[in-house]
Amino acid sequence: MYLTSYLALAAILFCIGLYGVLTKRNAVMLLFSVELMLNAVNLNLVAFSRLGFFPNIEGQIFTFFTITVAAAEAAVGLAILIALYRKKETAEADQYNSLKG
Amino acid sequence: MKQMAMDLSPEWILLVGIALILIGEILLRENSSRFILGLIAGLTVTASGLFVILQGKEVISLFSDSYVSDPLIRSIKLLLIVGTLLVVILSFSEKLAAKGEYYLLLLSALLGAMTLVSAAELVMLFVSLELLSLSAYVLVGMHQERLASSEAAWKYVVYGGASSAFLLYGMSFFYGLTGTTSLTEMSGNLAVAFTNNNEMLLYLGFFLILVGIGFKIAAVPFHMWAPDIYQGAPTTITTFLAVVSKIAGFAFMLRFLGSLFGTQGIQSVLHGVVIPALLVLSILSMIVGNVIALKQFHLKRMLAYSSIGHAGYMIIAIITILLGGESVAYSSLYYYFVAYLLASTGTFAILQVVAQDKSPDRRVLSGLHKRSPLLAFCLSVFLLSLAGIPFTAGFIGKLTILVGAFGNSLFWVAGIMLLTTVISYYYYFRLIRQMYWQEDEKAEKERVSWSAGFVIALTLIGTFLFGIMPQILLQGIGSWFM
Repeated sequence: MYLTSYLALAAILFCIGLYGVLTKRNAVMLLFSVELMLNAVNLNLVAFSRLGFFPNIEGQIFTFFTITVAAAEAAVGLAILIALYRKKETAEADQYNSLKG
Repeated sequence: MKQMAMDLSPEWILLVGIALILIGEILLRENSSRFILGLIAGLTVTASGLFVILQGKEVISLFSDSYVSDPLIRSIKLLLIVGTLLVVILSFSEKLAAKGEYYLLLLSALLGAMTLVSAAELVMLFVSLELLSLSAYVLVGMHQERLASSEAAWKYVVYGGASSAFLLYGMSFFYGLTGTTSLTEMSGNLAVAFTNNNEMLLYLGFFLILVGIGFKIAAVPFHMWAPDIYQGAPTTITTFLAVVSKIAGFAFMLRFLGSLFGTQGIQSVLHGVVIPALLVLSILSMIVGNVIALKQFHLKRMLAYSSIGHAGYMIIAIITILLGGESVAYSSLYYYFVAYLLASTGTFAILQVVAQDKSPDRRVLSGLHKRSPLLAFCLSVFLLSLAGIPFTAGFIGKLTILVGAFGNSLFWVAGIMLLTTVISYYYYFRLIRQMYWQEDEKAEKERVSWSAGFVIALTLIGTFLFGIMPQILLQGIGSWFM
């Protein structure tokens, strides 16, 4: 069945994204990885809305919302990263370690 | 159309307030005081609260059931509004509130929290949650000249983004297997989906969503962000996160689990998967939160771990609601929310006064009794309420949750709750000892601004009133909402 292959692709994308979030040192790569996870969700939603058990348009509408919100989240993330970069002068996320107990 | 405007009035008013602050920020000169914007923010939040009260017992359902508002939801909205109002008042004396966008973001975060509580549809739930989160990310990073603040905001964005990806991924499975995004329709289709041999995908979806929710309410093992972000954020925003954002997260959890796996849902899944998963979250939160709080020196970190512990207690109340589905269980959760809101807000307000801009170590409290006896007394009351000592609101909250747990034969969990409460006495009392029995060379009195004083007085009165006469609140909830 077609649906399974789309779901598998989405799962692989999600896992790559999660791996990136957990292991990448560069802060911009971290944001990319989060975007990858969100895009895996979009793929999932569109696949379900087209080939799912109950195909309907709602999944595609949902995708529009997630794309928009993901863009907003990336914008906020980059803005905060720039503010942080000005003080730390590095984009290596493991250098951001001043907060600890 | 007119009816719809009335039904949505609490949200409309917040939107108008946001627009007014935006215009005000443009009109005001660069270096003039932003107090007027704070005043607008306070008034809009109050007005919104009044409209929530005015709606009374009406049951509202708009946009083909994607926005629901009933007395139960309204009671939580009122808590969110009171919490935000206290944060706004507390901010009057903050240097940081010299920027107009501070109040704007605070109101938009509240707007997100309120629609989150009312949402009964996946898209709406997601968008409201993100409105709340995105505003909170920026608010955490508001102290631009401080490294800790930017760093906390960065960590919050990354953790928050990943957790909302988990939440969405879970939601996509629920949508795919039931073919709808409306929670009411979904609960009907869920039974069919389970017979289609797709249980595994649904379980996967449930656990993914649990990760997202667990992050929002800072339950172990998804709590890693909380201490860092509570520490780095400005104290007023820490209050907002610990109170408003957390209560909104719990309301979301209650709505999602309640409408899908509640009394009308599939009983075998509820007892086989949902309740055990919640029990694990609750037990881990209680133990890890309270034990790690023992060795924290930084006050805000300690309070972060203690609030993780409190999340564990609140999950027990959620479990009793899911098991019993009665109003008694709900009022115990609500009572705990109120007690937690009052005591946390009061504690953070005093922390803001005592530590000023410094990063508060436990030692800033040394000798507070000599310097400002009244402040020391108030902080002791709040800490006792968080610990759950009789005659404070926290005691009644803990007691009602315990009674609910015993009523549902959750003896193990109730035992762990008692044990961790005793552990928590140690670190709460240590602070009280620090205030009363430790000397400090610093001799001058603490300067308490009127706004902080107002918030402290209000929360102190509430803590005592609801601790000594619990029937006021219990009957109030009962008569108004049930």
